[in-house]
Amino acid sequence: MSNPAEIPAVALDRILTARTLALRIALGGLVGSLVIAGLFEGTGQFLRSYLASFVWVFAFGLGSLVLLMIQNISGGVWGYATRRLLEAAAWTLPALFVLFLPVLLGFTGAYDLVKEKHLISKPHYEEEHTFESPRLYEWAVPDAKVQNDKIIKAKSGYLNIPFWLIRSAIAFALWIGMAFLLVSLSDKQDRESDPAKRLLIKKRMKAISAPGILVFALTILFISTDWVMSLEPHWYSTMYPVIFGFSMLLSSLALAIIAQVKIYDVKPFDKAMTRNHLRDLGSFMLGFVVFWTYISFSQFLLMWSANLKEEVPYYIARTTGGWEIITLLLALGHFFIPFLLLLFRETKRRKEIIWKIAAFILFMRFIDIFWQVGGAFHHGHLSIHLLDFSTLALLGGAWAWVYLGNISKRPLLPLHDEREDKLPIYGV
Amino acid sequence: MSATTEKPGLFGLLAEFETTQQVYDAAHSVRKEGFTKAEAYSPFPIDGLWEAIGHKRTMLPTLIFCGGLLGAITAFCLQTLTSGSHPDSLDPLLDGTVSTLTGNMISFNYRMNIAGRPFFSWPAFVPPIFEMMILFSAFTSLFGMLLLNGYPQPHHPLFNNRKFDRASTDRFFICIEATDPTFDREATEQFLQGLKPLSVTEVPLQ
Repeated sequence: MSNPAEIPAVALDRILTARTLALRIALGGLVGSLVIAGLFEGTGQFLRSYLASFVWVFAFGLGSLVLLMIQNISGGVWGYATRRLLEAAAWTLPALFVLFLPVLLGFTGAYDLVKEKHLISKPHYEEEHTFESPRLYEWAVPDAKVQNDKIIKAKSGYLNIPFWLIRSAIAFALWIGMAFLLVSLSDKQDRESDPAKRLLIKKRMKAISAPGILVFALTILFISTDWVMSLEPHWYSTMYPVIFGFSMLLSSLALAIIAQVKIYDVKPFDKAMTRNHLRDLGSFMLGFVVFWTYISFSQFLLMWSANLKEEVPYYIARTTGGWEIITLLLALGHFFIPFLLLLFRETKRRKEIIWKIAAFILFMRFIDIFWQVGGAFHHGHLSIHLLDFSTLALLGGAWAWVYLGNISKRPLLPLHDEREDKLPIYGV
Repeated sequence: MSATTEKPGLFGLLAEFETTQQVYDAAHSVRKEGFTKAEAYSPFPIDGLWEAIGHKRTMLPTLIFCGGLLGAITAFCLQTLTSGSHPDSLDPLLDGTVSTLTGNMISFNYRMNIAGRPFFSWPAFVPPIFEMMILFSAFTSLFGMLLLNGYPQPHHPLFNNRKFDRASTDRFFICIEATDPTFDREATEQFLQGLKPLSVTEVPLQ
């Protein structure tokens, strides 16, 4: 190893090439979104697509911060090589705040008139059907018909624009603050040569991480309710915040696996990425996949059993008119396929296989979010729009550009991490 | 053949080592030499030793998977056959075969109307399916492990060698068994001596 603080030229080259590509994708997505939204669709559909894409990218930022905190507390070899990737992703939170701002346009304007070919009411022939759709949040529409709705009225003490904005602002401030503290402490640890002082830094990282996980659990309760659950203000689920929050950890872990296989496959860093270490990450991913299934199915089972009129429309809307295909795709692609693949030891140990499974899981994560968000606007009528793809390109590209930039700025492995010596000696 | 030079009643040759590194390297050599009936013993698990001595992966995970699958299928059938749709409704299609086959052996008539839900309510079947899958796979892993290890086995010939007592405290052992096709009383002892053990001793069968 020449200088551990330097990123090898091969790896740096890969990161920067990917970064240029990400920038091009983002610009393409931006131009595409503006053209489609500006010329044909208007802001309504743009915002709906944007929200789904935003929730998908946002998961990488906050999920990585939480994985990093778990890692700071638990320790373990699995975190040694992933630590820099998680820190780089956590430090995209300020950029994610900027990307979040367009969502606020969802409060402007009232209803959009949406024209679509509707199939549920008249199953035997298609008919052009015009209906009103809120830009994003129905409860925020200043329309007497909405505001006099019994349930929306009763919820207005919580679901009102100023309080919504305050909650989001506090949450972002907390997350960005914690990410800043953890990343700057980690920088300090890199530069610190005195082992006693390094131990002190490690203790301080733990002191931030432990309550940080609690902060995550509490903020995600409000944020998931505000950003996504309130799209359908009549519906509620106490399981939804858990689904929203833990899916983030799955997204971040899958991304960390891909980034690790693609970037660390260079001497001397490949020795930090042993096959058993990849197997650990793969098993971790398997656990999260199973947990996603557990919570998603529990929510469905409870609502199906209770059969209440506030809850059940959520699933009726997502199992009719084409949505049932997406629902089945989720059961297959988000559970059965990754579950059966990750059961095998060798699929987890081989880097050329595990990253493909992780990429597939990331794709299914988007499908799941699209199912949650898109389903709220097109009840019983599957609608896949060009803007869904262009906003995904815009946000995915822009986020990856920031993320890869963060990775390229710091050493690929922590310089003074006591785990360095604990890598398995007889690893196979 | 080596079988003629074998002393009757010999279980194998036992080599004693002092450190993990020594037993690990020795295990490598034993595998390279082509011994298949060899086993390493240590007071605690050593990462990689298992592969070093040349053990194949156990079939236990496959068994557990099958056990879990069997449990899931059992639970699914149990619920569907008792409270699912009535087989008589299939009979017009199958020409009375179902009724003939089942006769009076199984009653399919435990159909319960629970809040007007369909008899075949698969979402409600999932929790028992999941539980049975866990139960069956847990049983398979416990009993499969015991059976594949050859338990219950109250005595083992290795206990006839007093040196082996330290295998549970502070010594590491490699035993090449006499049933190995390439085992030869003299040549194998010489090979083991070449690995620089603390001692090489015989393990009698009785």
